[in-house]
Amino acid sequence: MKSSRILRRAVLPAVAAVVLSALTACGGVGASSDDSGPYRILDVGPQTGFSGANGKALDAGLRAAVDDLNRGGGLNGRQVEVVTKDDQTDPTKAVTLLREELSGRDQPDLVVTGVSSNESLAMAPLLTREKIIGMSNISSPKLDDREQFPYFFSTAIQQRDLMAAAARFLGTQGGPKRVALVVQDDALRQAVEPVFTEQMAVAGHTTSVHPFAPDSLDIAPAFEAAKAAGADWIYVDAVGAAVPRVFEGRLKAGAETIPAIGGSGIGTTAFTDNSTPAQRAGFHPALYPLTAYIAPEKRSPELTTLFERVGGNSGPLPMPISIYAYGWDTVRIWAAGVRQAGSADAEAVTKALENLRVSKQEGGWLMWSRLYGPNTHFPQPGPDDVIFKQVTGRQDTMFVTAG
Amino acid sequence: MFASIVSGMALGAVYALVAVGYNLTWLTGKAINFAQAGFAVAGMFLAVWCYGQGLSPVAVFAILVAAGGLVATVEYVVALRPLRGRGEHAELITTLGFSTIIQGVILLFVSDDALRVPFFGPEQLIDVPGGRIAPVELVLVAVAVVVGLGAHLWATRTRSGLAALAQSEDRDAALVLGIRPERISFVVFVVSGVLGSVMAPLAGPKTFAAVALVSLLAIKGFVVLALGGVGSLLGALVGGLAIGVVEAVVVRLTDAAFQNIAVFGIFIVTLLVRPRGLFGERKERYV
Repeated sequence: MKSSRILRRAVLPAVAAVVLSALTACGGVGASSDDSGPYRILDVGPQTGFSGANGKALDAGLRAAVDDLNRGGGLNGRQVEVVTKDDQTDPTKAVTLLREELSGRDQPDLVVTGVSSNESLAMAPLLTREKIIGMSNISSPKLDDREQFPYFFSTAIQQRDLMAAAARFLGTQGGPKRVALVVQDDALRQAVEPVFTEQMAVAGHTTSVHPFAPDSLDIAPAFEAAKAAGADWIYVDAVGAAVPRVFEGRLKAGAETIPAIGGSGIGTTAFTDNSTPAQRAGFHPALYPLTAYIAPEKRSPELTTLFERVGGNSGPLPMPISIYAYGWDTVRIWAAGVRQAGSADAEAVTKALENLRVSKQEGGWLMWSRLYGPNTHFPQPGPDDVIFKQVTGRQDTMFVTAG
Repeated sequence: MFASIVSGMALGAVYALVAVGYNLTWLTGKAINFAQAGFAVAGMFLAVWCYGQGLSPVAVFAILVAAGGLVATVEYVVALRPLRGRGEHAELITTLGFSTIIQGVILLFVSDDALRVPFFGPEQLIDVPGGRIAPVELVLVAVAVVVGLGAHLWATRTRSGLAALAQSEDRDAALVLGIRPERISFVVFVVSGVLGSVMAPLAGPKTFAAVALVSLLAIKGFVVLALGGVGSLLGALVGGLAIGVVEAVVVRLTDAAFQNIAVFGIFIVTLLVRPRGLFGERKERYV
């Protein structure tokens, strides 16, 4: 009897203390990373398969920025680390990988949610629930719902802003136009068509829509239909394997005589590598900051560093530097938010990002000058940030414009 | 419309060549090689690489023959031979698995989503009513016709072809007549693999080299097989060209969304109304 009392009074509390301390050390589900270890960035995106080259470039940009931060003493005195998970652009796989990471000991402070709207839309609800900042370079307005996804931020401008710029550009080409949309019939069409119809109508243009199946091997019929609709201009957008087929289809349909605008899906790929000058005749891709050529002497120190870190000085890069820059900007913008907030807490960082007090130059990001506010978690393009110009090829991965 | 039809026939020719490959292995070994499209797509990437090294078209074709033959031999030894005589059609799974391996291997080396495969012949587009056609499209259709008809004539008019069919129909009887079934199955399997890889320099300029093509061509090839009739080499040719034209006309006249609906609609109707396909033979069984 006496011995059992001793057991209860002395041993059990000790065991409980050991178990408790072990549980604390393990973190357990939902625990956040400790305050002395490195900040953790989780990149769930494609490294192989469709858009694998895109995802790899984005990841290389992330790592370049993190490397630069760490060499400069880290963020708030802490180092930053990147963990990459390959989701092969599969939203289901992306969510599974994210869940696995969230059930581990070290919670991410920032999750980079792939390169497509589908991946981001799949992961965003989980990030809302777990109160983790999510960032990506997607342009779907669905992710600008701050009620549903309060901690999600994009580093790319919205389709609506791009389309407004396109409609304004067409207005400078001699009055209202008949504009045909040739677009890949999947999530891209869902994102593009409504704002195309809306913004072209606002600018007084009339429209027609000619989709093509994402797995279609011949896109000429969509261009033939656009021609038959009497289009003065064609707005065309596609992603992945469809991009070179778009150029082939345009020429085969004889639609190269109709000037065309290329949307953000095409404008952010190295389309000049897989198309001929004849196929690109009269083609005006949307060019963002960094997609049009910048001579080395005119590059900012950060852009020079990015080129250096991703290997752009030692050989041709497989993807446009703008894709690497999206990764770079993700880290730089988030870091600015963390610095201003004084912590990586999602709510504090969100408030900081909505009211950033540092400029693009001070923060060291590369693309957009005007970022977020309480009403939008997408960057706001300035009047000269989106231009439409014909290109002749690429130099240092950036498009060389004609004339 | 004429341009769309020719374009559709060229795509159909690609499907037909895949389906001819399916039929060859089925006729001689009662196994459909679902990795057939994988051979074609791997061949496209290999062709792009070879052209990038400055190799001549003749050298590229020679490399593709060797590579296709080698990989087909490996597939036969690993995925088919161990299953011979078990009669459970497990090769459907193993060849599909081999196709997945081919895709995985391609992904190890490929960094781009789609690559342009240069055509070794003239690339200047030809103006026709309703648009333009590429010379490679005409070549593709011609090659599909030659291969489809050639394979049909081989299987029905030559001693080796008839021997191949005979061993497939009744293995024991063929053995008695001195035919070596295992050898015939192996040789034809390798030939179909070579066919898959050497079609790459012709199909690639039309389709571009893209990993996703493996699944797409495998499925379309199977639809063509069902439409033309399993075991009918002539059916594969006609079915392929027909499916290609249907796709092109449907897309031209309606919405992109109807392209696959039309093709799979034909597939389902064929299975319901004429399960043996357009050219398939009725099999009688005595019970």
